[in-house]
Parts: sequence; C-alpha cells; structure tokens
Amino acid sequence: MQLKYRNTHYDVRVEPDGEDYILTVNGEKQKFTAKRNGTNLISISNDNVKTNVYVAEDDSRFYVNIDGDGFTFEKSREEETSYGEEAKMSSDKDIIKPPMPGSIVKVLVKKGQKVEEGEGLIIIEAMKMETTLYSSIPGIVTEVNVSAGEQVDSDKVLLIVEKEK
Amino acid sequence: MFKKILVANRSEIACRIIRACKEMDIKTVAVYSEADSSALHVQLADEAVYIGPPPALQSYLNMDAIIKAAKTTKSEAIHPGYGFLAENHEFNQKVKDAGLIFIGPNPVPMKLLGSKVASRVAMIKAGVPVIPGMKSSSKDFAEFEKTANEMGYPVLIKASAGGGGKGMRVVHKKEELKSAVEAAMRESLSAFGSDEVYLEKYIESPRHVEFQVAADNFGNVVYLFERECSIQRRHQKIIEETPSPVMTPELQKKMGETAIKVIKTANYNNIGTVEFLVDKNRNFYFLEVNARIQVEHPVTEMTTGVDLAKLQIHIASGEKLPFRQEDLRQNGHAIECRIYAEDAYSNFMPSSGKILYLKVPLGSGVRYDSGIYQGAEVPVFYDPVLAKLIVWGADREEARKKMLLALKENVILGVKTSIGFMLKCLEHPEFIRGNTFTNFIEKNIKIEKDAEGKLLNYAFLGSAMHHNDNKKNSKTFTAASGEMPTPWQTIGSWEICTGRQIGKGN
Repeated sequence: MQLKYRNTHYDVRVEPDGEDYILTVNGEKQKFTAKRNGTNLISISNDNVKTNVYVAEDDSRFYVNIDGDGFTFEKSREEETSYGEEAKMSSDKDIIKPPMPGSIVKVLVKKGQKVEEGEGLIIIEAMKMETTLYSSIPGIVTEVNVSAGEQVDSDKVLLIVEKEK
Repeated sequence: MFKKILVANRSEIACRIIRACKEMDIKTVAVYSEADSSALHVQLADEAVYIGPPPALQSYLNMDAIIKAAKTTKSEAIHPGYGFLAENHEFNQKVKDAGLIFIGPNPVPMKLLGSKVASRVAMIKAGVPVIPGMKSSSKDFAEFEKTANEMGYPVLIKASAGGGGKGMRVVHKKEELKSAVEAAMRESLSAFGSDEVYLEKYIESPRHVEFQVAADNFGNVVYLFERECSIQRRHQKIIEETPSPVMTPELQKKMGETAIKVIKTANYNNIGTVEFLVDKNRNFYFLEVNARIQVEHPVTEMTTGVDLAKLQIHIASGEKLPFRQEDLRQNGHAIECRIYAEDAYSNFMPSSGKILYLKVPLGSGVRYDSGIYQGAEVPVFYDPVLAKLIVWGADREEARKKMLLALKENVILGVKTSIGFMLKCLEHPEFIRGNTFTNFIEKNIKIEKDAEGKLLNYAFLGSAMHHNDNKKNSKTFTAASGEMPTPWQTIGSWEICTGRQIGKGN
C-alpha cells in the first residue's frame, strides 16, 4: 500500500514468513518477529525487547501509537504515486490547505503578489484558536480561492504559491 | 443541600462535577449542543437538555437557554464549570435574578475580578504587587504604542476578559504591535464576546505560580497552597504540578497571605485561584483571579485531600468552611498533563475526529479525568481538551516517573494528541531539575520530530499487518451480511437420502 508521512511517500508491503514477517518499505526488506495481541495491538519483538504498537485505521488514515509516540499515515491515492513528480511539485508549488476545518479570519496576500519563504498567507480559526499559514517557498501567489469569513473543510485548496519560472 | 444541579458545561469538567454531585446524592442535569448529543457528560447525567446548535455562542454561551433548562428541570443551582459562562458576571446575575443559585462567587466580585484592568487598579490600591502596564483597556492604538515605547519591548497584549491564552500576544518589535493588537481583539471577541485588550510589560522567563483559595459566605478565607503551571504552549498551561519546585516555606506563607488579601479586597466568596508571576529573584506579581474551578484543580485535591468540586457546592449552599488554615497540609507531589487533541508538530493545531481506540492508563496514584470514550466524536467547535491525566507520588521524582508510565500507557487513536510532546517535556533534564519557566517549551523542546527510523518501521509494520487483518475480516463480514449463504451451500456435497438408502452404506 501507499502511505504518506510528513510529505514523503512510502510504498509499504508486509508478508508472512513462517512465524515472522517481512516488511518491505520502498523496496527495502527487513524481517521482524511480530504477533497480534489484541484488537488494535501488534507486539513486535526485536533482540528480546518487546514493543507494543497500537493501530487503528479509517478510510483515509492509519493512526499508530508506540509508547506515547504518535504516527499518522495518510493513505495516498494511486494517482499520486510518482515520487519524482511529487518531489518536484512540492519544491516548485506550495498548495495551501487548512490543517483542519475552520473559518478564514483574514487573507494576507493577493493573487499575483510576490511572497517570501515563511511569509504569512492566510489566518484561519479553528477551535477558537487563530493560526497563520505560511508559504514554504518563495514565489508568486497564483490562486486565492477564499475570502475572510468563509467556512472551509480540510481538503479545500485555499491558495497556491508557485516559484517564478 | 441542593436536590438538583444543572451543569452548564461539557467534556471532562462537566463529568467531574456530575460525579461530585452523585457522591453527594444530588440529581444532575446536563446541557448539550447538537454536536454533543452522545457526549460523555450527557450519558452520565440523570437528565439532559438540548440547548442549541454546535457553535458555542448558540449553545453553551446561550444564557437564556441554559437558565430555561434549569427552570424546566426544577434545578436549584447552576454549576458553570470553567470556560464558557463560568466567569460571566451577567450570567451570574441572571441566574440569581431567576431565583437560582450560581455555584461560584457573587456577581459583584466576579465583575471586578473579571476585568483584569479593574482588578489591577483595586489590587494596587490594596498594596498587592502587580506588573507595570496600561491602566485600562483601550481602542486607541496610539495609547498602546505610547505605553509600549515608554516601558520598552517586549510587551504583552492581553484580553481584558481573557484566560487560557486566548487573545494574548507577545510583541518583540514595534512593527508587530498593530497586527498583534488587532489579532488579540479578534480572538478575544470570538472567545469571550468582548474585544477589550490592554498592554503590560512582558517579564521574561518567569514562573507561573498560582494559589488555590477558598472563602465561605461568612468571611472565612484559607489558601490550599500553590500550583506551578509554567509549562505552557500558546500561553496555555499544559503541565501543572504542586508543590512548585521553587517554593520555600517562607515564600509560600508570604504568597498565600497575599492571595488571601486579594480575596478579601475583592470581597470574594467560593473557591478561586490567585495567579502570580514569580521572577528569577523570587519576586512575585499579582496577575489575576480566576473566579471558577480551574482545569488543574486535581493536583491540589491529590495533595491536600480536599475535594474542590464538592467544596464549591457546600459553600454555595451556605455552609461554613470545614477547616481552618492550620488544618491544611500538603502531602507528596502531584502532576497533571492536559491531553489535548492537537498536533504538536504543526504549531499545536487542534485535531478533530473520532476516537477509534482508547486505552486509559491505570495504576496506583493515577487519576484520569476525561470527557471521551472509544467511539466518541471530538467536535471542531470547542476547546480540544480530551482528558486530564493526574498522578500522585511521595515526591516530585516519583510523580514524574509515574506520569511517564501513565502517558505511555494512554493510547488514543483517531485524533492527534499532545502525549508524545508531553513525554519530551517531562524527560527533559531542565524539567527534572525543576527549571520550569513559562518559556520552557520554546527554549528547551525541539518541535521537530526526531529521526525515527526504527519506530517508523514498527509503525509501518503494525499498520500493514492491521490493514491485512482488517481486509480479511471485512471479507468474511461481507459474505456473512451481504449474501447470506444457506446451510446447503456450506455443508459441502450432499444428496437426498431416503430411509431405505441409509442402511446401504454407499
């Protein structure tokens, strides 16, 4: 399956090998001793150290907890799989989406405006907290799809910044 | 004593109060918005009344709907919890005017203390030490600029009605002042319905130390010692403990007596919290009074043995304080971690969703005050606190160790939580040394996630195995529920036998 974690894509496969499991991540194989220990618990043993991995999934994500460390993996769709292209996309183009549903407080930039890396683009409010979303690249604002006061869902593209060609 | 109390709140604090009432054989009424119809507090209460659509302004801040709910259910008193209407003196007065009892202070001291500016003025008069700053809130930007220039940067913008870091901004440079004042006004308006903000000198690397106080309606006032709440993000406390690592018996006595002076000056009744900043030289400055039960009240309960929620109800019903100052003792050490639904690695952005899996930490000295259950939805409309994890140990180090274990045992899947981040704080050498200042997080904790090669592979393996098992199970499930096979299809090959054929042995 294809997973996305912190803006990186991973191709993850697992197959049983007797009592053990072979994990393949982006083509690299590793062998683990693992066992299901409950509805949401997989225990992995390595050098006599047992680690409890708690997992749950919904339609779009995996949620994992290992001794208090949380991991959320996005299940990526097949069309997004070309790694090279994704890497290029992310450095040339910054697609700003809200991290969660909320309302737009203020749009700080206009279409066609030049922005620096780290410049504030939009202020969004969710759960009574204002958060500013920043540009991760220097470039030009090529799309502004929202205005102040608007309610937005987390998959809405608010704004796009593109590097100058 | 009251026979029935309406709890005008939601989540963990509503559950906490409902449980206190149940212990006292008082019937409870919950109120809920459309987003909370199956929330834990609704499940726990004896009755529940719907009060409006999800946005807080139309439900948990809807005074008339809440008072009406109290009247129709024949409740005698309203407990406001914290946040929402807890420190709204208009609501307090309205409850009184409706012939009900507000479990909290009288409206007059609440009004005085609710305004940070008015309470500052009153406390300066009474000789209580305060931080220098503007004398009142203002809409005139020039006044902010003038005061900031006079005192020098950095300065702090605060909402007059504020609390919990909302409407609060630190400004380091002159150029940032205007946008910070505007943002603070907007945030304050949206969170508290008032855009009054003011400015004061920002004291660098202070500790936040607060004193729990209790005052009955007969003028008796005691302090139940301090809580140190210096570990904050976005100016909101996330880890609290008592005793404070900086406390000495002399300082404790001095601050406790100042806290009592504050309470007497305001003519305050019921329980409350007097907040102070303590600087590097152990000078302390009065900040404000929180005229309500605090999020972090459990650490005081764990070390004094006093149930503050029940004490509030006893005082409100007209009883005298059951103890004097000299009866009160601090025993051992308690720490609280607030478990928020938020992403520490994305600027603590709140996270909403469904709790797909929940494992509550257990063990001796472990307490879990929570508003969630497995399968519960965490709505986007409210403060993202999921639960509070509190531990008690004989000393600070024992409490810290217990907290580390309990945090690791607390599994919440389906939303992002602050658990991993809090582990980092508690494991930091500066925390162990007790060097907890309000800038602890920005100074010590790297927000970047560590390179996590091994753990990441474990997480991948767990996900993939879980997914494969789920796929297998869902196939069986589809076959069973979708096209239910008849017994004839599942018993394998068969033929019709007559009685005569049976004996034949074919």
